[in-house]
Amino acid sequence: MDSREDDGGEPLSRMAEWRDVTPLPQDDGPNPVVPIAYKEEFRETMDYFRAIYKADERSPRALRLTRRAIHLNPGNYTVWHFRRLVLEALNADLDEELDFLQRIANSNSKNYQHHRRWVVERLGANARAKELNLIKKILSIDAKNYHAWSHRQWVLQALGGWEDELDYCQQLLEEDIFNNSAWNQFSARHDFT
Amino acid sequence: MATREWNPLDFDIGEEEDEEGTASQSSISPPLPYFDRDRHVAFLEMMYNLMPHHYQSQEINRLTLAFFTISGLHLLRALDRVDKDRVADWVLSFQAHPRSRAQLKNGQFYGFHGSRTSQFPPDGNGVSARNAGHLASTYCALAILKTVGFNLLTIDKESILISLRNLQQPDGSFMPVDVGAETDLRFVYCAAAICFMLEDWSGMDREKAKEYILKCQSYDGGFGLMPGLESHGGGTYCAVASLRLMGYIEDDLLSKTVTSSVINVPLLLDWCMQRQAIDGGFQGRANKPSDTCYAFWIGAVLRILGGYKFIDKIALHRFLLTCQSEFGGFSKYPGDLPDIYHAYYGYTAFSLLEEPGLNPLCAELGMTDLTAIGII
Repeated sequence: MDSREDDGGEPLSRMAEWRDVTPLPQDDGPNPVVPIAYKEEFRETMDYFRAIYKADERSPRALRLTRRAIHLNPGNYTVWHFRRLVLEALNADLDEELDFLQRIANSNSKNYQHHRRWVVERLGANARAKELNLIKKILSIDAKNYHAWSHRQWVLQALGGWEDELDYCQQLLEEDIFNNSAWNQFSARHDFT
Repeated sequence: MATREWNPLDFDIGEEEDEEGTASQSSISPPLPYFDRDRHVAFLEMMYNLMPHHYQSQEINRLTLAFFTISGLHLLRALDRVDKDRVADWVLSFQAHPRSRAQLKNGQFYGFHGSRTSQFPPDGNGVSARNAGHLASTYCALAILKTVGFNLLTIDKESILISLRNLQQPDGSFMPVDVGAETDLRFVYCAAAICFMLEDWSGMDREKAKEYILKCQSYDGGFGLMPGLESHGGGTYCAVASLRLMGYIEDDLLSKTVTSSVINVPLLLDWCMQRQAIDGGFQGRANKPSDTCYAFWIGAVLRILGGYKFIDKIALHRFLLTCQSEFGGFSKYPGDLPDIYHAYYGYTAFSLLEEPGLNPLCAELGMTDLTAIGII
């Protein structure tokens, strides 16, 4: 995808591109429990997402919309699933998708673990170095991040690379001998290889 | 409620952001020396009526938010604040219904949605015809229905159980939703709890699930969320509670003369006991800061095994009070702002400590004993 992915965050109702779409409001029912005081941006984005999803529109603007929705509720697996369908329909460049995921990767990364794996599986061995390096970057900020370690084990299992892992663990333990995640990785290396 | 922006945590187990704990942003008043039930009830009532916009990122887990709120009120013996019929109707509106029996084998899960954002009329075209029932939402839905006294025999449990099998993987683990997501112990637990509450194990292959769980026990006795992963409080709870619900470990195991067990119990016990830190709180993993919720995740494991009596209850009580918020609820770390997840697990932790005025807890289901047994 190109840089137009980032549409500036303008309200959708004011964008010419979305004029033909009628947003679909959430039907919470007559007596909702634990209603949430949604901000307007959230409400609007999800109303448009609902409309596009119901129409099953797999277009470039749909892809951009999923990005907005992901930003507002990164745990929403329906949005992620739809994004995958759109990526496939558009025959999108998955290297760019990986770059996109890298840009938005932060401590919330666990929400798109599955989506990330879906992309990496399709890119295959070529993605290995990139993934392992990205995980190293995350661990350099948060050396015990559980989901980063989980993803790291998955990459090593799926794409190989265990032979270099001993050095990496040793390095981490030199930085912090109490890093239990690194100790665990030592043991996992032994179990998996 | 403070106006500072804060990020409510995700409610999946394993959320360990804020590694070092944020500096206190709330007032500097010292923690109350007692469990402030009235303030907690007010906190939950507020959530029941309207959750602050910060929770919008949790919309997908709306039923989970409702579970914490309603079961929380029940723990605090304040369920009268809830309109039970209204709650039951609302929860039931999230159930995914197949249009025919044949659909039950189409790979999708006809449980409950967690939110309207994943719920679309099934007669739509294309992707929206695809249902997205979710395991965790189904667990929460059934738990809420039981809590408000709804008779589970009247729901379409057959659809749930038959289609539940679609989510079990060849290695025994469970996917939470058919459109694809992580498989790990959390969802094995949800599946086991669902079958247990529906009193029907046809929904899963227990043996395979047990095999997967055993592969998750780490060299140090705790359980990781997946095989090979670091021992974790949430993973350990899911493992032990699942085995208990499925009938693979007896009640109060430690008091019996058992020569063998499916899991390495002494090592597990040792791991659990080591998780109580110097500050009295429980950590989720070795050498991590103490966090309110692990007083439940690990405390409940000890309760199930019959080893809760070994912990330092006074120190734990003291630690938990430093996480009690003046706004009601509990925070992850001392002095932080509260969130509904840590509030709920703070209440369950106090129930394990047998705090007066709280309902007793069913450790393996994570809800009141009364609900588990079926007494309204």
